[in-house]
Amino acid sequence: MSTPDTQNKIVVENLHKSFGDNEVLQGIDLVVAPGEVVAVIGPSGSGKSTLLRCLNKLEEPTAGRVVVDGVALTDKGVRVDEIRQRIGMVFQHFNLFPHMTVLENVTLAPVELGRLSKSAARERALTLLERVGLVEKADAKPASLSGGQKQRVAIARALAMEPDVMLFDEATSALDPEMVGEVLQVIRDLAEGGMTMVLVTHEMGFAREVSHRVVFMDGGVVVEQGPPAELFGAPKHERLRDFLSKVL
Amino acid sequence: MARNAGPAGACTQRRASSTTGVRRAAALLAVLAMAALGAIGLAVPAQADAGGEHYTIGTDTTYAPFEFNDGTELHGIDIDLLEAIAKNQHFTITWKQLGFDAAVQALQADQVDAVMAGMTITDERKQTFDFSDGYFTGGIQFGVLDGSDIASLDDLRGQTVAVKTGTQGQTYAESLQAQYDLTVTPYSDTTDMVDAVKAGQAVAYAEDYPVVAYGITKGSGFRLIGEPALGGDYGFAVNKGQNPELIEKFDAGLAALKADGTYDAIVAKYVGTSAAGASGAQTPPLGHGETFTVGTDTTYAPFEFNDGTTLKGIDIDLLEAIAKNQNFHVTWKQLGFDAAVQALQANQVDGVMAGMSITPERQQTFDFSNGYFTGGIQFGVLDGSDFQTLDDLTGQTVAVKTGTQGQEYAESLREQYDLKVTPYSDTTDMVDAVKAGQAVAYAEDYPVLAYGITQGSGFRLIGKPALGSDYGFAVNKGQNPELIEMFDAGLKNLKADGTYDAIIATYVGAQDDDAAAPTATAKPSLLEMLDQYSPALLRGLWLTFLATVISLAASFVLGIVFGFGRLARFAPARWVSTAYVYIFRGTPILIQAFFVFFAVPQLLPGVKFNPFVAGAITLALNSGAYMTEIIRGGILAVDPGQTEASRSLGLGHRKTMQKVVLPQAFRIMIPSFVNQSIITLKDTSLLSTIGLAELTFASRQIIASTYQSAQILTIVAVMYFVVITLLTVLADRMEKRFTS
Ligand SMILES: Nc1ncnc2c1ncn2[C@@H]1O[C@H](COP(=O)(O)OP(=O)(O)O)[C@@H](O)[C@H]1O
Ligand SMILES: [Mg+2]
Repeated sequence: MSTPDTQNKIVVENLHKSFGDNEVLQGIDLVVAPGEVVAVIGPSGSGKSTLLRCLNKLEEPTAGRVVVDGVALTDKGVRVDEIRQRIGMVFQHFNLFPHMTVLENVTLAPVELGRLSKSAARERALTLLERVGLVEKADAKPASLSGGQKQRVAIARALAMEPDVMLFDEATSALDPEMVGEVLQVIRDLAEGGMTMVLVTHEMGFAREVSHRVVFMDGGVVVEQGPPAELFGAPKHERLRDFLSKVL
Repeated sequence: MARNAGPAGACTQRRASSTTGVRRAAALLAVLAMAALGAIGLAVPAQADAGGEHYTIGTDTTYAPFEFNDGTELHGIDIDLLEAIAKNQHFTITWKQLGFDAAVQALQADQVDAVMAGMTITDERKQTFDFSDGYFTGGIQFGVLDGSDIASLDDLRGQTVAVKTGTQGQTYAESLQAQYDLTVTPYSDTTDMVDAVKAGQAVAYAEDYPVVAYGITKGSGFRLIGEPALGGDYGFAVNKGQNPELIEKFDAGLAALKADGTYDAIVAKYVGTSAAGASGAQTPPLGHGETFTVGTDTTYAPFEFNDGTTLKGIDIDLLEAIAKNQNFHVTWKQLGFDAAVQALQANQVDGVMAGMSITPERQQTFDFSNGYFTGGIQFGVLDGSDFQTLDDLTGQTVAVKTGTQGQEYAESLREQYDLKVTPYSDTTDMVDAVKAGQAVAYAEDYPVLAYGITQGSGFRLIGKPALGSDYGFAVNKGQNPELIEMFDAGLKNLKADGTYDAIIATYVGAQDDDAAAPTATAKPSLLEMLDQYSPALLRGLWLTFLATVISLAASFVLGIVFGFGRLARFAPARWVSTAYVYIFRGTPILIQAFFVFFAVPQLLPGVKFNPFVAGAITLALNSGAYMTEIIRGGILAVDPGQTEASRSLGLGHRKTMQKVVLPQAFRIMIPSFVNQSIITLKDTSLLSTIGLAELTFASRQIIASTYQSAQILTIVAVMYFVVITLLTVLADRMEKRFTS
């Protein structure tokens, strides 16, 4: 909190979010440094997705501050579409555009937002698809892909806007076990490439391996956070121990 | 003038109580009152005044302008006229305001001495009653809005007039169509016809002019123009063979009143113009072998028509027989009715013999012979049925057309024959009701019936024509008087020697023989019908198609506007859009059509639509409400994750809609669009009621003139089926292409 906003990629201060009477986030404080990989864990319903969605304003916070790249998303009149271009998001259910080919999914945003010409967007899309190992599926429709392939296309789609933050919301939860690995590999590559990332995940092993810091949420608050070795090795809070005993 | 002579106050008239004129209730009361009178042995005495006889006269309760109460006193043409005649002829009268049916029955029961109640002289009634000379000729006239500039028939030139389908009003308007370049729009009932004029869809409507006059007294806001046409004579009636001196006095008094101007004054008081019809006496002269050129109609079976080689028909045979009888020759010119009348005025023909009704208007231009044929109402029954006489109809249901003389006639027989009278709004429905067994007979102008029978309608006439108007042979006023004389003399001779009856029997069945029937030709086959009527039906189909396409395109735009409106963040946009959907889904499309066509022009002066535009607007608004819901539903059906994915990439709301949501929503909507298009196409058929001449309208017009409802409806159903099936297949193809 003593660090100025400009030195951190993401700063969340006293974030509250209610759905009607249900206060889902009850005062979250979180800071993510550039190049840092933060894994968010916690039981179902604890508010992990809501927190993540507040980071790119898919949810409107009820109170508190969210600052990304020095821009306060929670300020009035902020051009949220511009900030979102710098924050990639990957969803549990992929949310690929079914009426477009894989290539069109990836080129849509850069072309429509005037970032790249059609041909340049195509070039970049092919490079990204190459990176996720799906260049041969460029002209396929999403319906013909497996779950793992879909999620890799979704990651490529998010990367097409060259974001400097990536948000992953249980990116592997909807996948058959044999496909989890290929998606985690792509994320691992991104981490190694220095991408700032917030990962909501149930893959504890992966969180431990790839993240710099783990945040444990329960009941709308951050209960405990720290380096993975500490958090998994010597959990301080009863609730975290409880949780870990169930998932490990 | 008339005084209450009867001691029984219960039955004396000149009360103010029956102004409401509920005819049936009044008739019932009168019957009860008479029964009471009979039971206590009281007859209304014919008490003589110092100066002469005293008579009790039955009349109607309310039939303005002939008789009606203004709250305190009985008024009307009938009342004033008979009172003037009584004064002139030195007798006195007591009025009994019984209602029409009750008055006629009271006369038969000798409870009254005579009836004066706007009663049309018909052959059937002549069997029971003796009539005076006609004292008034009813007929058709045009009503225009009081505030309009239209003052004469000439002012109607190039305009649209409203008529009631199948009535004499339509016949009349169509007879003027060519002369005045009229557009004649038929409506299925009086209300629609009148509303059409109020809404500015037409500038005038054709109707029995006493009815129009009655409406005017009720503040209808209309005004009469032109002169009555196609009228029947009203007469003063006594029981056959009784009170002949009363008829003599009436005729003498009427003649005197006409001579001294009193008659015109009385009529003018109520209907503004003098209208009178009276038939003259006959004198028998002889011809000298001269040749006259006579104009006639092209096809007006059974009066004149070609059977392929020769001109035939009642008019033709009758005038030929008269010519032979009176020693002159006839050269026929088959010109069509209007052209024949014009040719006569231009002296290109010497006379016209074309089923032409004797009307006061025509009498200003032409001299007429005595009536040689009385049109009128008769019952048609299915040829295969057992019904032979009116008696056979006892206890049965008969179909009539609402507001026509046919209805009037059937209702006049209701009590006598214990009939159930079911009114239909048009000829087709009425005829179909009999074909379908909903009724055993229908009442209709009998020449029309006869024409239908010659067309293979499968019907048969029973009873005798009633409430008819006379057809006459016409020459130019003041010209060829010897021709009229010869015609009348010849007609008299032919009637005497049976030739007249024979000629009539040839075409419409013997007047005295219920069993005789007009000759029916074989029913045309489906293919023949198709051949003959497909151009008209295809024109209708084209309009159906056009109305569908235009209104669907418009409704699509409405659907987009209001569909997004329903999803808008801006609350008033949501309210307006929701109200639109609720209003147009929550009211029947027929009411919407009537509203657009009839009500809007009244609510917004200066705004008026022709039936096509009104129909397209209605369909577009109606279908637009459903399109709104289809579009809203389609958008909501797209997975919200799609929007989130797009927004998370930084794409704005508009781009997200355009590129992500709508393409998917559109695919979801296609089946609903196809469905709505088919519904809209089918809904066009409802617009026939506001006169949109689409396929259903076209088919009903054809059925009305051919009676071939089964064939025409089959053809039309197949046409709809084929078009809709083709559209469905096309839509399926499109859908496959979009979703592949
Ligand atoms: N759009 C919403 N409307 C109402 N309640 C919501 C909505 N989204 C999430 N919630 C509620 O917020 C709570 C936290 O949900 P979520 O953030 O999805 O939890 P997690 O991702 O940790 O499982 C849950 O109780 C959930 O029902
Ligand atoms: Mg979640």
